[in-house]
Amino acid sequence: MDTDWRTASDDEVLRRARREPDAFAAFYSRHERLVLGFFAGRVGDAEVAADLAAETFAAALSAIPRFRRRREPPVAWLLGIARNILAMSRRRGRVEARARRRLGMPQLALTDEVLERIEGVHGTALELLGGLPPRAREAVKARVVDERDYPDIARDLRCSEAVVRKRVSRGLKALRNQMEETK
Amino acid sequence: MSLIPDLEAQLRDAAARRRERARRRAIGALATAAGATVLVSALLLMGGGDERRAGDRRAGEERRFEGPLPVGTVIPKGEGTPPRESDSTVVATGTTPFAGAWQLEAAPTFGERSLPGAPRGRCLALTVLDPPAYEDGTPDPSGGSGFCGALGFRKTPGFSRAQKNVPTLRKLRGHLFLPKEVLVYGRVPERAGKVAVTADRGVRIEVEPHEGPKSIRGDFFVIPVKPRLGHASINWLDTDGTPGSRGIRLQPPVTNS
Repeated sequence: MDTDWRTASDDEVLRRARREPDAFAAFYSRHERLVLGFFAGRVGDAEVAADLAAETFAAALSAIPRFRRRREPPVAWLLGIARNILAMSRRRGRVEARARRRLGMPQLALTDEVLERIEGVHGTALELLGGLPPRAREAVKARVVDERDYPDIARDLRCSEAVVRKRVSRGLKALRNQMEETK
Repeated sequence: MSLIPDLEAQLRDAAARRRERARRRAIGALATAAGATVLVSALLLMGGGDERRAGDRRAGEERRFEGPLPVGTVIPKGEGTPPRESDSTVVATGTTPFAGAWQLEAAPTFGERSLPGAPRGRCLALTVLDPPAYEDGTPDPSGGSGFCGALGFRKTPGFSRAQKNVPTLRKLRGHLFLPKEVLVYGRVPERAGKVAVTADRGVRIEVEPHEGPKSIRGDFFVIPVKPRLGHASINWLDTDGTPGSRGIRLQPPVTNS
């Protein structure tokens, strides 16, 4: 039976990705732009951004059995992995490739056309971020763009950590939906 | 449509391979359990037998243990497990009580995709060849650790250190499981006679550096230490016992914070 992954929640997709390869492909497809936008803005190089995104999704695939839904939505978990990969790559001075090696994934062959599309993603993400409601925009920017901790953001915004998490979660969901529409 | 269709296909394939491996592992575990039952029954019938370890501390059948290669061996780009990203030279080998056999390799970073502004030079990579599993039998997925360039070691030329936790730190249900052993490794100048780790309560661990191959400058060391030593630092000493630098502070979990 073919599943329509569009209607499934991220939690459901990740749960089923433990057994169904198509589920993880769907998870990749729906968060690809967000992750590429995250890296493109930080490293300023489409090729490196693509390598970092590939490593992030490979690490996420390996970590699925350990994924437990707690307070953060799956997309925040994914961005957490992305942040770690970037930090590790900066520390080592080269793009981390451990997860891809472990999974036997070859290096990506990127055409100019793909690189151009990746370069466009960062601009789109920033534009869409500007279109979020002010509170969600503030929370997403602080957490995802500025990489600040939840308690720190909560202190600044004078609200509880739970409220910040909710705003980030809603903001990211709205961003993802808008990015889906711009495909 | 995905922006990088190749990556979507690669991930789908990797997920399928992963699922297949998990299925094979489950079948293997079942077969091993059945085999063990037969073996235990046979030993009981024979009225004795050697004492067996309660659990195999090694990481499972998937990883094949291959002993360290001789110092000076060059592992060509794309070869080895995992495949090397560039020609990699074995600079030292040895064993430690918990981690077992290790192999230290040096490889040039030139020609690889580097992050903008990252230093170029050599990368030093430590591989634990047969990584021990966690206490509950879960395999430790990380057998390697490495660093590149002179990043962070500007005040101590020719002297560098990094740490590899064995097994890798893990947090489970809010509890942090410390490694059993931390391998402190790096490079020292060739005139170094000893490398010493010192810590609170008079802890002092000294080792002699390994002489690397002629093609690569410097000597190398790997020192196994226990976590939570408190205020631990590392330094090299010349043949007269004079400290070669101001020393470098070790990082958690060797230190307490």
